[in-house]
Amino acid sequence: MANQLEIKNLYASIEGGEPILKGVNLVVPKGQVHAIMGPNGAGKSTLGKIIAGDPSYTIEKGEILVDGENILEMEPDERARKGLFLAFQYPVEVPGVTNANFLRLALQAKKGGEVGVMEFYNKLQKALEVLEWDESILTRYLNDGFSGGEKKRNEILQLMVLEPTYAIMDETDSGLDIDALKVVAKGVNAMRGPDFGALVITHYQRLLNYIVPDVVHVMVDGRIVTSGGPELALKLEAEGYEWVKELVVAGS
Amino acid sequence: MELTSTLSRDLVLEVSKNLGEPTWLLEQRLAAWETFAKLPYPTTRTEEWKYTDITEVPFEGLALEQPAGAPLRSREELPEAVQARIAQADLAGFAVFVGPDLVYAELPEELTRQGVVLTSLHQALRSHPEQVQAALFKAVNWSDLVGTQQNRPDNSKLPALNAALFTHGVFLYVPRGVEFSKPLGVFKYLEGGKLSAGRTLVVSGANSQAVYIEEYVSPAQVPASVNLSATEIVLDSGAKVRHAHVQTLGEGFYHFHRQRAHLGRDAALNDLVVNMGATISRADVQSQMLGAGSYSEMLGLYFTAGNQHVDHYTLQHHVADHAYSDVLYKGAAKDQSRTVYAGLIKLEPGAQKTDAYQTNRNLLLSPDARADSVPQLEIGANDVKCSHGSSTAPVDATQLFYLMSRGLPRHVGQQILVKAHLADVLRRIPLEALRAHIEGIIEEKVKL
Amino acid sequence: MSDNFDVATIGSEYKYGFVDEVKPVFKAEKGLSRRVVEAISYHKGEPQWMLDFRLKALEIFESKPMPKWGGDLAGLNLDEIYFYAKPTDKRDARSWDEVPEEIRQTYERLGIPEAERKVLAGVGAQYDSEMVYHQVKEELQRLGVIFVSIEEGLKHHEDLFREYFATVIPPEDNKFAALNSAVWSGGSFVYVPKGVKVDLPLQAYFRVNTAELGQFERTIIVVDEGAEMHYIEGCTAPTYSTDSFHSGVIEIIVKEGAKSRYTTIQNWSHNMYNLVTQRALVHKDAYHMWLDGNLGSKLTMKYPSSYLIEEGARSDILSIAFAGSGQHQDAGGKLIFAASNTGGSIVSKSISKGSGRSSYRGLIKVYEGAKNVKVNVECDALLIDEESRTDTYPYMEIEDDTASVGHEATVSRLNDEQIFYLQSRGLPEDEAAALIVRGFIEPVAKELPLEYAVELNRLIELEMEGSVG
Repeated sequence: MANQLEIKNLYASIEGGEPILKGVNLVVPKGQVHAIMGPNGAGKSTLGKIIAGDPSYTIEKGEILVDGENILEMEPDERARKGLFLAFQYPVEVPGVTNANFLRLALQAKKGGEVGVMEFYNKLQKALEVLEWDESILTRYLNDGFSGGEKKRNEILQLMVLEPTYAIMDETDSGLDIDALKVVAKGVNAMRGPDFGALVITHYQRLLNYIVPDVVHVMVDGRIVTSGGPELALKLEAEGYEWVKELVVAGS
Repeated sequence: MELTSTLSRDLVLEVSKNLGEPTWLLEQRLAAWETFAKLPYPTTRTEEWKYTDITEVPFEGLALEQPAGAPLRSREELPEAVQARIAQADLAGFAVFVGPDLVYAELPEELTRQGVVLTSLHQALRSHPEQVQAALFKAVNWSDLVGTQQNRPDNSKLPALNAALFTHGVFLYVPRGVEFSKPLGVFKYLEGGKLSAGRTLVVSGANSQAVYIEEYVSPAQVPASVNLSATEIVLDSGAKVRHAHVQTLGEGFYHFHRQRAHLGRDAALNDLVVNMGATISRADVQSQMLGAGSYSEMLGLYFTAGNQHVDHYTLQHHVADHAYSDVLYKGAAKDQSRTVYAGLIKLEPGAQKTDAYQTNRNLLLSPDARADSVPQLEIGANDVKCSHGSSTAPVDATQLFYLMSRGLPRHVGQQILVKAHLADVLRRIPLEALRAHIEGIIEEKVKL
Repeated sequence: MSDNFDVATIGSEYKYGFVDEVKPVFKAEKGLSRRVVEAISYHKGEPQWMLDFRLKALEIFESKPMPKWGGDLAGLNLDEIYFYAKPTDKRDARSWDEVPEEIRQTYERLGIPEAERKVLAGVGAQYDSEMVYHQVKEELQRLGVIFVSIEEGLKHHEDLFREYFATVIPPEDNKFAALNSAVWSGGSFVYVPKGVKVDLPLQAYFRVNTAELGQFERTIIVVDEGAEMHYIEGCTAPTYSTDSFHSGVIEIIVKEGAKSRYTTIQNWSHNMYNLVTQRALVHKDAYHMWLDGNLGSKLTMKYPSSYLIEEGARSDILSIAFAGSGQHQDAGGKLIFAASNTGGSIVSKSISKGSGRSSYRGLIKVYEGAKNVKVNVECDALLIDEESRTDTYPYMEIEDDTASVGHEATVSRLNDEQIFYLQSRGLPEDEAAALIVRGFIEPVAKELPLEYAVELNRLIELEMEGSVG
């Protein structure tokens, strides 16, 4: 199917280890924001990393389709050029490479050619403004020595500059205070529109007050066990994950 | 002035004969003698001896200290210094040598029953001939050098001399699966004035666990004396050994120690070298990670004063993959004393997934003290984590100021900071009695 | 495979490996002998004292054993080396038009005349054994800046020359310093008068064209009180099947309050033995920086040294080494502190790829009585492939209790997490790897003049092509 990110019956394990995903089925249509919630160890972050192509996982079976095309055989960079973006839970530090240089290279890789200085600069300006961030961030090395909050904000900066079709936000809220959270949400919301789909992975409902999802999925033990509207997140916040765990027992 | 050497091939024959040794051992001794006779003494042009000048050491001007066949003594008849140590050492069992003679041994019935052996090497040649023959000279010998490409054969000169002329030894055997965590100790009391040469052989079976301390004690002042020691530690798969070498020999001693451990699969060694005494002392401590997943912690502590010179060399030789080694050597030097640390992390091709670390920290406490530090890496595998660090500095002025601003006199502040510097190593030693002993030595020395 | 990668450049990794159609006008017989030394001196029309000096140095060379440490010198057969090849009769041409056509073309191809017009204060070009070109901007000449070949320095400034020649590195220093002292030819003589600040760099460009040639340049740089100068040395050679040999001696005197910087970008072909001795004496409150980039050669043994001999002197050594398959970069640096309140640092970044080996070898020496010395050493090694190798041999000799000396070294491989992160942003794996490598050397590379930084980046991109995955 075109115009959606689709995960079909996905089974995966950590290289040479335990199975983590045990038959995930999920569709995120373009234009929508979906959230995945679930207890620790449910496999939420694994799903995000697998979509992006993290080589440390083995896919046992299933498919991941971007606009109808299976991407499982693709390298991570090909997937990025197809329009996928993972905001990392733990963004990686790359000393010696400035943020600006990196962003320009990544944008060029995506566009498959030179990007005009003005075009690049305008994009940056716009993003920085939304993120209430100073230009000095551009000359710092990529995530090197950044605080936890700065790293998360930098992921959103990349998101806004690279303009992917589908973004996966992996626990982007973890470790953020409320002000930083608002800024990050502002960045994501600025991206929303008919040509953008997002999958927001989070443990807490709090983030979803600011990035209001169209659909909420609950993941437990490597499977999506139930889905619903934003009210599902509120229920999880109020009642915890025990009742969904029972769903798993009942279902299996 | 050229003196006639006290050492000769005939002496090798004589020592072996007096000890009633089997032919294979005599042959090994003679092979070692050939090497000794052929090699020059290491000089400061020998890479590993760059900072330690031993031209003044009378290796061939002293009589070899030979066993007197002294009878066993009662505990009360042991040298006072040794008795004092035993009283506070909190040991499960121990043996005492006076010179080359084993004069006392005490091993709990429970360990004996499980087959643990702590005895003289020559006793073991009779009771456990196969175990001894299979292990002796395998780790420390006169030919097998591992080191930087600059390593020269003369670095084998003293181990060759030890192998040719050792007059006594300790044999510790821990059978497969046997575990004990209270230390066994061997005290070597040297009266001085002679050339002493002894060996230690530790054989620990698969999945065994042992704790072993060797201590070298002498009167505080002795005429020129040389002690050559060699320690071999063989760890079978999964064996765990905690080993300490504690040297508090008196002024006048020249102490040269060579040690190497062979670590099998998943074996773990916790090693500690403490050099506090002697005029010149050198400890060359090596771990060879031969089995995958093996682990070697190598700690060193030294504190020199007066005209002391102490030299440490460490080798972390990674042959197998997934092994871990960590060296931490810390020392302080006051007066005109000198400290030397050199060490090498060597990773053979194929030693992937190695974690290897090496740290040397020196504190210089007087304008005439000197510290040389050469931490080296030779890395032949890429998927590894290796780092090393070295620093040499005076006592931190800000810290000292802070302490003084709280009312402590300068010298007290300094003493506290020296102890704090060395405490990093001390706190990694879980043997409380040993730690207290070393703290006592530091305390005494810091106030000198 | 990356889209924006210049496929045509792949496989021709060493782009300076072309051979020029230039026949020397004179070439000494093969091997080293008294006759060869006399021939060199004769061809240069030297005073007797210099010939005596050379012959004495030859004796010293012969009396010293080959070093057993460092790299493998077994393949260096001095009997198969030409010790002198004179490319042209005209030395130190003042205009490129006076340089023989074929030789000029080489330098055009290397982009030297163009760089001279744009970004340099002066250029010296050595071809085989002689400096064929030397020119410095007119306004600097007027200020008394001397920038000529070492031979012209001896001829026209003999007193100044004798005052400094072989005072920093005597022939007795080491076997190869002795060799250079016996057969030296070419190199620069630089004098920057008191208070003169040379804003743009002076550059010397070394090219070895004749096969099996030894190049033995000798450079003396004197930066007088309060003066400032930046000298750049670049080196290339054709790729022959036989080995060549380069053994320079560089002596630098940095006087009170002066600032100097010596940058080397060594990109010899991979059949070159490169054994160089370079040393600076740093006087009161003066500063010297060595920026040492070793990219080419088969074996390099080179440890730039600074002797901080008066109070307040400072020196930094920055070193980048790249060892590809078959290469051994044995580099590093020495800081010798013989005066109080001096300081400095060494930062070394090395990359080993394929069967390449890079070694850091360094010395920090603090003499007794040199108070309050502060020095820090940082060595980082990056290993790309399983068979790549790195060594670290740092010597620290501390004789004063007020010294604060630190040394830290790390060894790491290309980090999978970093590569995945960059890939997930759309960069192909090769480019991601090259970017990480560039980031790794950035702290040193940022000190390079721009055109060299660009060149270095290009080289790394080529080298990293196809190296992961």
